[in-house]
Amino acid sequence: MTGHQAILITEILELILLQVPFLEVITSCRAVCRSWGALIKTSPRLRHYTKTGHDLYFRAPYEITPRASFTPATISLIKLFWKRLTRYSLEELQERKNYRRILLNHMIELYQELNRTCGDAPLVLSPPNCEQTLTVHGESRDSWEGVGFWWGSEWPEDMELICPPDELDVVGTLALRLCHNAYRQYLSSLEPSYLDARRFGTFFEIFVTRKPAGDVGPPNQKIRPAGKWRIVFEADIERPLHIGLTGRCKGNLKGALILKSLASRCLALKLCFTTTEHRVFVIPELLEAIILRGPVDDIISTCKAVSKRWRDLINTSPHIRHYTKTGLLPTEENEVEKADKMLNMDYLTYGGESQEGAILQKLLSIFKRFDEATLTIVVVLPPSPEHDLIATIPFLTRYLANICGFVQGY
Amino acid sequence: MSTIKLLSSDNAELAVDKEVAERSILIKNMLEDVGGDMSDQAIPIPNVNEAVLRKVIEWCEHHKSDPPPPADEDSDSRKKSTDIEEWDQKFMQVDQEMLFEIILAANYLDIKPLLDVGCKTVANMIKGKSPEEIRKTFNIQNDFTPEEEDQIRRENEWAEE
Repeated sequence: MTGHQAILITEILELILLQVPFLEVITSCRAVCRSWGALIKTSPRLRHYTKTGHDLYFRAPYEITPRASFTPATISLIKLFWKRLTRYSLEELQERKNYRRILLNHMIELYQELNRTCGDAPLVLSPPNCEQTLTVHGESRDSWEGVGFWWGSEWPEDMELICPPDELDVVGTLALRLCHNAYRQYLSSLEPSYLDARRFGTFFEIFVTRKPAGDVGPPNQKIRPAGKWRIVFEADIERPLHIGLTGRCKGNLKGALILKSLASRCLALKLCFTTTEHRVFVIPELLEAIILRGPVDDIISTCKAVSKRWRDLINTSPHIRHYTKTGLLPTEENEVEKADKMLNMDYLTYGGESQEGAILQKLLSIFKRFDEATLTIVVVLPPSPEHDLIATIPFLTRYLANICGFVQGY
Repeated sequence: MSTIKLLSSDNAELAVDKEVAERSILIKNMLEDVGGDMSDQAIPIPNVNEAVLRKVIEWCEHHKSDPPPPADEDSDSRKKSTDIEEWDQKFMQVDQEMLFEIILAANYLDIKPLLDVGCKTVANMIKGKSPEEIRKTFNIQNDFTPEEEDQIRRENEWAEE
């Protein structure tokens, strides 16, 4: 017995599945038969859909929506996450004194599950046709002054301007990206101290400590082509590097500019849409060099989906692996090993013997993996029970506050 | 209003208003290619039988006043939604064989809105079903080995609410 001729035609089955909720496509539908499973796995349009919830061929996510936003897939996943978290933990939370630990344990389990299947889904998409990328400078300071968005390399004097409310989403999105990178830097530092979570400004902050000797930040941080912006972390190896984040921006950096700046996925998406592969992409060394110039977020999500060759290279190249783990480009081979050791050391030394430490250690490793692969959800965890859990995303804050009331929000 | 004739795969000749027939981009292009004059000659539609062709014409007649779809596909008009307007829902209340034939005909005749409605209808039949229920609904053979099935089931556990 076989299905009707119509659903044996790939193009038509593809159109049908694009109308089915993406979660069902990647679960029930792919389990129907081999041909459905193969189509869902290989069709670029369905792959895009199952990662984002958007149809690749329609403009909506990129051009009709002028700003970066969570994808439908993200929203579904997060809904699912919270639904399950609620189901498993609400009753217990109301009864038990150690509700924080229970909650954290549930989060660990759920993240692990989600991560297995959705680890490479880009949760935030940027408009692909922007030609600018944003420069964000991390200012090394002794006090928590935060980081702003501004044009050029000089710290602006008029940093006090707060974004109008309708631009807060944009800043929030940027904040997530910055937070992602900051968190990665934190994980790769030699002497990790606790994430000292404090509220700051309109959004959130994440703190990093001293950078390891030899790390000088992204290799291309000095390159600033005319008319383009770049994400840059400035490192000062002599002093603790504090990276905070606020909703502030300079007066002349208009909302439109910020919007146009969200272009980090630009390169990879353009490449995805290119039908003929340029010959430089066939030479592994050149491809590696090109990929290494892309933002980490793109590499671990979109670039992997470009082709099998790209994916294999990203998975196997030591340079790319190091870059996607740390955000840093190693200059020598042994630095890759050194960095890997440092990452491992983080986990060994971080938690110590205490139970809280062990939980945090576990969480860190999970968050690291989850965060590397998905780029968005960052929860700043308290170093000890007397600190509160800080949720970094407003709706997450609201949700947690509703169910257990101890989460600090903004 | 000029009328043209369509010849189904089972040699039935159906008269239809040109305006209605031109909901099909295939027929519209064909008519443009021959200068619009096909009054004395039936246009062969070799992939579509009479019953299906009548259904397709019925849909085209009902939707003949709809605004034309945008030239490019990058339109918001097909924003993701499985909502189907009431008339279309009733129109699609046919047996599965006919439903799929309509989809195939819409695909062949290049009638995107009809193809869209057809796909949404099938998608609604898939929604909320388990793999086994989907197989039953569409008479699809399960060609996974038990081990493979088990593996997929384990992989899908994360999404269970």
